[in-house]
Amino acid sequence: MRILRNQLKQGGLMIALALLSLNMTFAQGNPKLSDAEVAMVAVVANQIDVSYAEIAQKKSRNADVKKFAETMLNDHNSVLGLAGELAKKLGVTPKENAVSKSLLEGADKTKKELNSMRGKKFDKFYIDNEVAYHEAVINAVEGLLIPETENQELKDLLISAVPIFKTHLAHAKSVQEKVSK
Amino acid sequence: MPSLFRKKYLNNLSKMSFISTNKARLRKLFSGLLIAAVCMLTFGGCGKSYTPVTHVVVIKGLKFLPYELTIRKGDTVKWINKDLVKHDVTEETNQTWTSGVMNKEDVWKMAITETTDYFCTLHVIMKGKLIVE
Repeated sequence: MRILRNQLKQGGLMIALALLSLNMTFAQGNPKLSDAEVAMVAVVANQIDVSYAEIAQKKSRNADVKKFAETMLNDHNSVLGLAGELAKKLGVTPKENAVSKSLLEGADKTKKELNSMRGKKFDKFYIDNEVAYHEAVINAVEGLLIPETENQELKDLLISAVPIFKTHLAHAKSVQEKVSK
Repeated sequence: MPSLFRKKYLNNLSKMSFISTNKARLRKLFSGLLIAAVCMLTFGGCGKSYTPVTHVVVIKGLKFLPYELTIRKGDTVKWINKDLVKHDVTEETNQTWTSGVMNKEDVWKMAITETTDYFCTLHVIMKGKLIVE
Protein backbone atom coordinates (compact mmCIF):
# COMPACT_ATOMS: atom_id res chain seq x y z
CA MET A 1 0.00 0.00 0.00
CA ARG A 2 2.85 2.37 0.93
CA ILE A 3 4.66 1.45 -2.31
CA LEU A 4 1.50 2.26 -4.37
CA ARG A 5 1.08 5.57 -2.53
CA ASN A 6 4.69 6.50 -3.26
CA GLN A 7 4.32 5.55 -6.92
CA LEU A 8 1.17 7.66 -7.20
CA LYS A 9 3.00 10.59 -5.61
CA GLN A 10 5.83 10.14 -8.10
CA GLY A 11 3.28 10.03 -10.96
CA GLY A 12 1.74 13.30 -9.77
CA LEU A 13 5.17 14.86 -9.44
CA MET A 14 6.05 13.76 -12.98
CA ILE A 15 2.90 15.43 -14.31
CA ALA A 16 3.60 18.63 -12.41
CA LEU A 17 7.18 18.68 -13.74
CA ALA A 18 5.96 17.93 -17.27
CA LEU A 19 3.44 20.78 -17.05
CA LEU A 20 6.06 23.17 -15.71
CA SER A 21 8.46 22.10 -18.45
CA LEU A 22 5.75 22.55 -21.11
CA ASN A 23 4.86 26.03 -19.94
CA MET A 24 8.54 26.97 -19.74
CA THR A 25 9.06 25.51 -23.20
CA PHE A 26 6.27 27.60 -24.66
CA ALA A 27 7.23 30.70 -22.72
CA GLN A 28 11.01 30.54 -23.27
CA GLY A 29 11.30 34.33 -23.02
CA ASN A 30 8.63 34.73 -25.75
CA PRO A 31 10.66 33.35 -28.66
CA LYS A 32 10.00 34.84 -32.05
CA LEU A 33 8.79 32.01 -34.28
CA SER A 34 8.51 32.09 -38.04
CA ASP A 35 5.39 30.61 -39.68
CA ALA A 36 7.40 27.50 -40.57
CA GLU A 37 8.38 27.11 -36.91
CA VAL A 38 4.81 27.74 -35.73
CA ALA A 39 3.65 25.04 -38.15
CA MET A 40 6.23 22.62 -36.69
CA VAL A 41 5.15 23.33 -33.11
CA ALA A 42 1.49 22.80 -34.09
CA VAL A 43 2.32 19.52 -35.87
CA VAL A 44 4.45 18.21 -32.99
CA ALA A 45 1.85 19.16 -30.34
CA ASN A 46 -0.81 17.19 -32.24
CA GLN A 47 1.49 14.23 -32.93
CA ILE A 48 2.37 13.96 -29.26
CA ASP A 49 -1.27 13.61 -28.23
CA VAL A 50 -1.83 11.04 -30.97
CA SER A 51 1.07 8.99 -29.55
CA TYR A 52 -0.34 9.21 -26.00
CA ALA A 53 -3.74 8.10 -27.30
CA GLU A 54 -2.21 5.12 -29.11
CA ILE A 55 -0.64 3.94 -25.85
CA ALA A 56 -3.96 4.43 -24.00
CA GLN A 57 -5.89 2.49 -26.64
CA LYS A 58 -3.52 -0.47 -26.17
CA LYS A 59 -3.16 -0.38 -22.39
CA SER A 60 -6.37 0.93 -20.84
CA ARG A 61 -9.26 -1.37 -19.92
CA ASN A 62 -11.48 1.54 -18.86
CA ALA A 63 -14.28 2.23 -21.40
CA ASP A 64 -14.35 6.00 -20.75
CA VAL A 65 -10.56 6.31 -21.09
CA LYS A 66 -10.55 4.24 -24.30
CA LYS A 67 -13.41 6.30 -25.79
CA PHE A 68 -11.58 9.51 -24.91
CA ALA A 69 -8.36 8.18 -26.47
CA GLU A 70 -10.28 7.28 -29.65
CA THR A 71 -11.55 10.85 -29.87
CA MET A 72 -8.00 12.18 -29.38
CA LEU A 73 -6.76 9.93 -32.21
CA ASN A 74 -9.55 11.02 -34.58
CA ASP A 75 -9.44 14.73 -33.82
CA HIS A 76 -5.68 15.31 -33.63
CA ASN A 77 -5.17 13.27 -36.82
CA SER A 78 -7.84 15.45 -38.50
CA VAL A 79 -6.03 18.62 -37.42
CA LEU A 80 -2.70 17.14 -38.58
CA GLY A 81 -4.23 16.37 -41.94
CA LEU A 82 -5.53 19.91 -42.33
CA ALA A 83 -2.19 21.38 -41.21
CA GLY A 84 -0.38 19.21 -43.75
CA GLU A 85 -2.71 20.26 -46.60
CA LEU A 86 -2.32 23.92 -45.69
CA ALA A 87 1.46 23.71 -45.43
CA LYS A 88 1.54 22.12 -48.89
CA LYS A 89 -0.77 24.80 -50.31
CA LEU A 90 1.32 27.61 -48.83
CA GLY A 91 4.61 25.95 -49.78
CA VAL A 92 5.70 26.04 -46.12
CA THR A 93 7.93 23.28 -44.78
CA PRO A 94 7.54 22.96 -40.99
CA LYS A 95 10.86 23.86 -39.38
CA GLU A 96 12.29 22.25 -36.27
CA ASN A 97 13.05 24.70 -33.48
CA ALA A 98 13.86 24.86 -29.77
CA VAL A 99 10.18 24.77 -28.78
CA SER A 100 9.31 21.74 -30.90
CA LYS A 101 12.45 19.89 -29.71
CA SER A 102 11.65 20.60 -26.10
CA LEU A 103 8.08 19.31 -26.59
CA LEU A 104 9.38 16.07 -28.05
CA GLU A 105 11.87 15.59 -25.21
CA GLY A 106 9.12 16.06 -22.64
CA ALA A 107 6.86 13.68 -24.53
CA ASP A 108 9.52 10.96 -24.56
CA LYS A 109 9.72 11.06 -20.77
CA THR A 110 5.92 10.97 -20.43
CA LYS A 111 5.66 8.02 -22.82
CA LYS A 112 8.23 6.11 -20.77
CA GLU A 113 6.08 6.72 -17.67
CA LEU A 114 2.91 5.66 -19.49
CA ASN A 115 4.53 2.47 -20.75
CA SER A 116 5.74 1.57 -17.25
CA MET A 117 2.26 1.70 -15.72
CA ARG A 118 -0.90 -0.37 -16.01
CA GLY A 119 -4.46 -0.68 -14.68
CA LYS A 120 -5.99 2.16 -12.67
CA LYS A 121 -2.59 3.75 -12.11
CA PHE A 122 -2.14 4.01 -15.88
CA ASP A 123 -5.67 5.41 -16.41
CA LYS A 124 -5.16 8.07 -13.74
CA PHE A 125 -1.73 9.09 -15.01
CA TYR A 126 -2.92 9.21 -18.64
CA ILE A 127 -6.01 11.32 -17.99
CA ASP A 128 -4.27 13.62 -15.50
CA ASN A 129 -1.58 14.19 -18.11
CA GLU A 130 -4.22 14.86 -20.79
CA VAL A 131 -5.82 17.56 -18.61
CA ALA A 132 -2.44 19.19 -17.95
CA TYR A 133 -1.31 18.82 -21.56
CA HIS A 134 -4.43 20.35 -23.08
CA GLU A 135 -4.33 23.25 -20.63
CA ALA A 136 -0.72 23.94 -21.63
CA VAL A 137 -1.44 23.58 -25.38
CA ILE A 138 -4.45 25.93 -25.22
CA ASN A 139 -2.37 28.54 -23.40
CA ALA A 140 0.43 28.14 -25.93
CA VAL A 141 -1.81 28.32 -29.02
CA GLU A 142 -3.70 31.37 -27.75
CA GLY A 143 -0.76 33.11 -26.08
CA LEU A 144 2.12 32.31 -28.42
CA LEU A 145 1.34 30.56 -31.72
CA ILE A 146 -1.66 32.64 -32.88
CA PRO A 147 -0.04 36.01 -32.08
CA GLU A 148 3.26 34.90 -33.69
CA THR A 149 1.65 33.70 -36.95
CA GLU A 150 1.80 36.05 -39.92
CA ASN A 151 -0.03 34.02 -42.57
CA GLN A 152 -3.79 34.52 -42.14
CA GLU A 153 -4.79 31.01 -43.29
CA LEU A 154 -2.43 29.39 -40.80
CA LYS A 155 -3.69 31.76 -38.11
CA ASP A 156 -7.31 30.85 -39.00
CA LEU A 157 -6.53 27.14 -38.72
CA LEU A 158 -5.00 27.64 -35.27
CA ILE A 159 -8.00 29.74 -34.19
CA SER A 160 -10.37 26.98 -35.43
CA ALA A 161 -8.41 24.38 -33.48
CA VAL A 162 -8.84 26.14 -30.12
CA PRO A 163 -12.52 25.06 -29.57
CA ILE A 164 -11.44 21.48 -30.36
CA PHE A 165 -8.74 21.59 -27.69
CA LYS A 166 -11.08 23.25 -25.18
CA THR A 167 -13.69 20.53 -25.75
CA HIS A 168 -10.96 17.93 -25.29
CA LEU A 169 -10.02 19.57 -22.00
CA ALA A 170 -13.64 19.51 -20.76
CA HIS A 171 -13.98 15.88 -21.88
CA ALA A 172 -10.70 14.96 -20.15
CA LYS A 173 -11.89 16.57 -16.92
CA SER A 174 -15.15 14.60 -17.00
CA VAL A 175 -13.22 11.35 -17.48
CA GLN A 176 -10.74 12.41 -14.78
CA GLU A 177 -13.65 12.76 -12.33
CA LYS A 178 -14.89 9.25 -13.12
CA VAL A 179 -11.43 7.68 -12.95
CA SER A 180 -10.65 9.17 -9.54
CA LYS A 181 -13.75 7.54 -7.95
CA MET B 1 -101.79 52.96 -33.20
CA PRO B 2 -100.06 55.13 -35.87
CA SER B 3 -99.79 53.14 -39.13
CA LEU B 4 -95.96 53.29 -39.25
CA PHE B 5 -95.58 51.85 -35.76
CA ARG B 6 -98.28 49.24 -36.57
CA LYS B 7 -96.37 48.11 -39.61
CA LYS B 8 -93.11 47.75 -37.63
CA TYR B 9 -94.95 45.92 -34.80
CA LEU B 10 -96.51 43.42 -37.21
CA ASN B 11 -93.13 42.87 -38.94
CA ASN B 12 -91.37 42.15 -35.65
CA LEU B 13 -94.21 39.85 -34.64
CA SER B 14 -93.88 37.81 -37.83
CA LYS B 15 -90.07 37.62 -37.39
CA MET B 16 -90.49 36.37 -33.84
CA SER B 17 -92.96 33.70 -34.89
CA PHE B 18 -90.53 32.62 -37.69
CA ILE B 19 -87.77 32.32 -35.13
CA SER B 20 -89.89 30.38 -32.62
CA THR B 21 -91.14 27.87 -35.21
CA ASN B 22 -87.65 27.30 -36.65
CA LYS B 23 -85.59 27.33 -33.43
CA ALA B 24 -84.05 23.87 -33.87
CA ARG B 25 -83.08 24.49 -37.51
CA LEU B 26 -81.63 27.89 -36.65
CA ARG B 27 -79.63 26.37 -33.75
CA LYS B 28 -78.10 23.77 -36.08
CA LEU B 29 -77.28 26.41 -38.69
CA PHE B 30 -75.60 28.64 -36.10
CA SER B 31 -73.53 25.74 -34.68
CA GLY B 32 -72.37 24.83 -38.16
CA LEU B 33 -71.35 28.38 -38.93
CA LEU B 34 -69.44 28.59 -35.63
CA ILE B 35 -67.50 25.37 -36.33
CA ALA B 36 -66.68 26.56 -39.83
CA ALA B 37 -65.39 29.86 -38.44
CA VAL B 38 -63.17 28.06 -35.90
CA CYS B 39 -61.80 25.76 -38.64
CA MET B 40 -60.99 28.72 -40.85
CA LEU B 41 -59.19 30.51 -38.06
CA THR B 42 -57.20 27.47 -36.93
CA PHE B 43 -56.31 25.74 -40.15
CA GLY B 44 -57.19 28.22 -42.81
CA GLY B 45 -60.02 25.96 -43.81
CA CYS B 46 -61.67 22.80 -42.53
CA GLY B 47 -59.95 19.52 -43.47
CA LYS B 48 -56.53 21.22 -44.11
CA SER B 49 -53.75 19.45 -42.08
CA TYR B 50 -50.28 20.71 -41.06
CA THR B 51 -47.43 20.13 -43.53
CA PRO B 52 -44.21 19.24 -41.71
CA VAL B 53 -41.21 21.42 -42.42
CA THR B 54 -37.44 20.86 -42.28
CA HIS B 55 -35.23 22.61 -39.75
CA VAL B 56 -31.43 22.84 -39.92
CA VAL B 57 -28.87 22.36 -37.14
CA VAL B 58 -25.29 23.26 -38.03
CA ILE B 59 -22.46 21.45 -36.26
CA LYS B 60 -19.59 23.91 -35.90
CA GLY B 61 -16.97 24.82 -33.30
CA LEU B 62 -17.92 21.61 -31.46
CA LYS B 63 -21.43 22.90 -30.88
CA PHE B 64 -24.90 22.13 -32.21
CA LEU B 65 -26.27 25.41 -33.52
CA PRO B 66 -28.86 26.18 -32.34
CA TYR B 67 -28.46 24.23 -29.11
CA GLU B 68 -32.24 24.22 -28.55
CA LEU B 69 -34.79 23.96 -31.35
CA THR B 70 -38.58 24.13 -30.96
CA ILE B 71 -40.47 22.26 -33.68
CA ARG B 72 -43.85 20.59 -34.39
CA LYS B 73 -44.42 16.85 -34.24
CA GLY B 74 -43.40 15.24 -37.51
CA ASP B 75 -41.04 18.02 -38.57
CA THR B 76 -37.69 16.93 -39.96
CA VAL B 77 -34.40 18.08 -38.48
CA LYS B 78 -31.35 18.11 -40.75
CA TRP B 79 -27.87 18.17 -39.19
CA ILE B 80 -24.93 19.39 -41.29
CA ASN B 81 -21.34 18.86 -40.11
CA LYS B 82 -19.48 22.08 -40.87
CA ASP B 83 -16.73 21.33 -38.36
CA LEU B 84 -13.09 20.33 -38.82
CA VAL B 85 -13.59 16.98 -37.08
CA LYS B 86 -16.01 14.03 -37.15
CA HIS B 87 -19.17 14.04 -35.04
CA ASP B 88 -22.32 12.07 -34.57
CA VAL B 89 -25.86 12.86 -33.42
CA THR B 90 -27.22 10.39 -30.88
CA GLU B 91 -30.29 10.30 -28.64
CA GLU B 92 -28.95 10.85 -25.14
CA THR B 93 -31.09 8.84 -22.68
CA ASN B 94 -31.08 5.37 -24.22
CA GLN B 95 -29.21 5.99 -27.50
CA THR B 96 -32.37 4.89 -29.33
CA TRP B 97 -31.23 6.55 -32.55
CA THR B 98 -27.94 7.76 -34.02
CA SER B 99 -26.63 9.27 -37.20
CA GLY B 100 -23.43 7.23 -37.09
CA VAL B 101 -20.13 8.99 -37.77
CA MET B 102 -20.52 12.17 -39.81
CA ASN B 103 -17.48 13.44 -41.68
CA LYS B 104 -17.08 17.10 -42.64
CA GLU B 105 -19.97 18.24 -44.92
CA ASP B 106 -21.98 15.08 -44.19
CA VAL B 107 -25.72 15.62 -43.75
CA TRP B 108 -28.13 13.49 -41.75
CA LYS B 109 -31.84 14.01 -41.19
CA MET B 110 -34.65 12.53 -39.17
CA ALA B 111 -38.37 13.17 -38.55
CA ILE B 112 -38.90 14.01 -34.88
CA THR B 113 -42.03 12.98 -32.94
CA GLU B 114 -41.14 13.79 -29.32
CA THR B 115 -39.04 16.12 -27.18
CA THR B 116 -35.50 14.75 -27.17
CA ASP B 117 -32.06 15.46 -25.74
CA TYR B 118 -29.18 14.37 -27.95
CA PHE B 119 -25.38 14.50 -27.92
CA CYS B 120 -22.22 13.58 -29.80
CA THR B 121 -20.78 10.27 -28.53
CA LEU B 122 -17.32 11.31 -29.79
CA HIS B 123 -17.41 14.56 -27.80
CA VAL B 124 -19.68 13.69 -24.89
CA ILE B 125 -20.03 17.25 -23.61
CA MET B 126 -21.53 18.37 -26.96
CA LYS B 127 -25.28 18.44 -26.45
CA GLY B 128 -28.47 19.59 -28.12
CA LYS B 129 -32.22 19.67 -27.43
CA LEU B 130 -35.31 19.30 -29.60
CA ILE B 131 -38.61 20.50 -28.12
CA VAL B 132 -41.81 19.27 -29.75
CA GLU B 133 -44.67 21.70 -29.25
